[in-house]
Amino acid sequence: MDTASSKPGDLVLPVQAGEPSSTVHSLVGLPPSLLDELWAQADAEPLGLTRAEFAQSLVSVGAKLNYNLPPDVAAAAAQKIAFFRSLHLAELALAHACALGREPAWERFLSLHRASLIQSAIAITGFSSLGEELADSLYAELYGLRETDGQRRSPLMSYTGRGSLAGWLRTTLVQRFRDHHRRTHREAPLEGIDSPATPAAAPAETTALSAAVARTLTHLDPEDRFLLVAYYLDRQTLLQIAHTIHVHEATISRRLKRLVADLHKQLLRNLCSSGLSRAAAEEALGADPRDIEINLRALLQNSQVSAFQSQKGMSDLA
Amino acid sequence: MSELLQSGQFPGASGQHPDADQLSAFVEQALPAHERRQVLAHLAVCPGCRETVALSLPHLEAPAREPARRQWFRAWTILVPSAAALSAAIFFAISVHHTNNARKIIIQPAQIAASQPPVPVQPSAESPALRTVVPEDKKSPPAHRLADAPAAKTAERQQLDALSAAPQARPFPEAIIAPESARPADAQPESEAHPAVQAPAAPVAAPAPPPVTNAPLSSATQTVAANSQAPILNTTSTALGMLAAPSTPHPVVFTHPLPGGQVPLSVAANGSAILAIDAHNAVFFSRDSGKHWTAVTAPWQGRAVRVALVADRTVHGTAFAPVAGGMLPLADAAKTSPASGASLTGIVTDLTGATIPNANVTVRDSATNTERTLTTDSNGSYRADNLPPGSYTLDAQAPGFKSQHLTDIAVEASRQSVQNLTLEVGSVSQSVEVAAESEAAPRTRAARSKALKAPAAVPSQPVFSLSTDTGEQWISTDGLTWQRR
Repeated sequence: MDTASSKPGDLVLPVQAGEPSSTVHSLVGLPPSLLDELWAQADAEPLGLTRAEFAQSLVSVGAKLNYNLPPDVAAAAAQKIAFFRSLHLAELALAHACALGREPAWERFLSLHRASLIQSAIAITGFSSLGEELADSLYAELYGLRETDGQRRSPLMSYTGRGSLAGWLRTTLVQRFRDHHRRTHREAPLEGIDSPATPAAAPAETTALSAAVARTLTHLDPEDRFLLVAYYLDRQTLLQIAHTIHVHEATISRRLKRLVADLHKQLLRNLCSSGLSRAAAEEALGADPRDIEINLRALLQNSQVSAFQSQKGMSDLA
Repeated sequence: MSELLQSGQFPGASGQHPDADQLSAFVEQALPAHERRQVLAHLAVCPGCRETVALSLPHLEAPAREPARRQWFRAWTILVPSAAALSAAIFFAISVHHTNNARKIIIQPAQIAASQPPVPVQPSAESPALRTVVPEDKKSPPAHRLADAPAAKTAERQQLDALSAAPQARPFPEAIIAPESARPADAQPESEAHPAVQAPAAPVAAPAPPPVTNAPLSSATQTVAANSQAPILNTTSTALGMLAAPSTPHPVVFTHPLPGGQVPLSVAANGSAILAIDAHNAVFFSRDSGKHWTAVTAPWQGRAVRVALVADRTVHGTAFAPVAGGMLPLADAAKTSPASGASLTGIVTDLTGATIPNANVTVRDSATNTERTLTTDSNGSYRADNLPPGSYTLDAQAPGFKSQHLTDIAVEASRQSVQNLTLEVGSVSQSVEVAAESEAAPRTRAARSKALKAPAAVPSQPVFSLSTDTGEQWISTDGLTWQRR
């Protein structure tokens, strides 16, 4: 492993290494005792990271995330302290030290995450060779072989320490795998792709139903909306959804059942508010459900074209 | 629908995809509430990010788990039916083994009782004692029933008790139960639950011809139909030999099978003396209730098929008593005879000494003027049992012969009087009247009274009878030496 510290593309931090602690404190606005505490927790010194660099990383992460507060809320000192203490300081220091090209940091990174990175890549891709290739590609990308504007750019700088570094690596691997999949599948022959059928003119009686469905789904809670989409459109299992949002799968099932019932009631209300009687609204809901199901499937297939359309940074690195 | 769900036209939806840091923090529940809401809203409309989140779940990095090993005890789910079948087969084999190795001969105490020395019985059929025996038979053990009989002896009852006590501690399976009539319900002879056993008690009120009805009888036999039913023994082999009598629910068990281990076909017991025929038609005799067997040398030509008791009295109240030339209902016999054991027998011959079968012999009591008509058998013999002591007259008639009339034939209690008749050739209307005396009849009144007071002893009276498949009839007094009838 080559050393990155002596390379000309090192990341430029506002606080220079070797700067006195008081100066660092004054720059980042952290109490000395808190910085010492965080520094001790991060165990960043063996990684070749200076206190000033560590403090600057904290400051940049806090500023980027607004200390986990909404954008329009100013963080108080206690909130800042709580935010800093909630971070994975050791992994944040490791990631930033690796991004700065410190050799000890890379050695630790390799010892800690190299094997798990390859293992995760193999698990994600399903193939050993492709997984190893994907892991090597990501490793090179993380090492900062790519330069932008004459400076090395490492994705590790985007790691904020809120989640674990291993989780961040897995998510990054998945994104790279999706990019790889998208690139390789562009080579599919065009004649194999059917042009989407022109949607037929909707009958008048289903127009009201469609409008009511649109109004009902628009006002759904984001989590309920996610549940509906993940379960009914992505066909994810209850266990998968439960792992995603950290709720027991039985709870997911109950919520889905309750959610569908509420949607049915809401649709009835919306249909009634559009001028239909309750009997007519119920008839409209139960008149032709197969048409609705067919439309759902068609819409589901057409909805996957917008994936990662606005992903920033990652696509450039890929 | 999916366009509506993923259009992003809802509050909180973000137009940009969350980066890897946000998504990983979302997966690890490290996002603040407002940011989590934004990510959820974005995930609802972005299938790519949903897929990214789904793939980046921690469980995906877990190494491929080895296929779950089937737990070893799951094999028992398959082995259970086979084990059950194997157990059943073993149980069946053991049962068959026990059945083959052990044999039980069911004997009924009444049969043994029938072979006891002649018992002076009260006027049986007419007496209320015998009539009450039948209903009591279904309620009380036969030992008690016998005890109720005024003429039952203490020794006999003790023997019955001793014999009937044996199976109490030795239950036997139903497979060994006598198939036709003497079928004990269980091994508790004192139990009242013996309907199958009590059924063949041969009640007087329901007389039924026993199988011995058609058996040829000689004039010397003194056989009661019930005792001729030696095949009432069950023919199944069991661990214990059991003999069952038809008139009592008490099977007697003796624990020694026949030599050779064959199934007993026919058994007759006279006290502790037991005569048995096994499945190979070999005849064995035992003096000690089956503990030791002695093979009987067969003087007959055919195969022995049935043994029975010859010496018998009306203890069982059997419906029919075979007499020479026919069957005399015991009820009728009881009416004319107080069951004194007296009998009158003889042979009807012509002048050349040839026997005359189917000759009518009328025995008339001179005192009461009651008569009994008999018919000689193929051997020309007749027999009248259970006659009250007294003086009798005999009338013999046969087609082509002159009738003969004998008077003053003395019949004494517990004695068998013999009076042969010789018919002369002639018309039926002719008759010969002879004033005869029984050969065994005492000549004087003093001698007659002395004979009445003398204990009943019939020397060298045959006890066992044996039938062969060729129709021969053999009798024996000791079970070992046999004479042809």
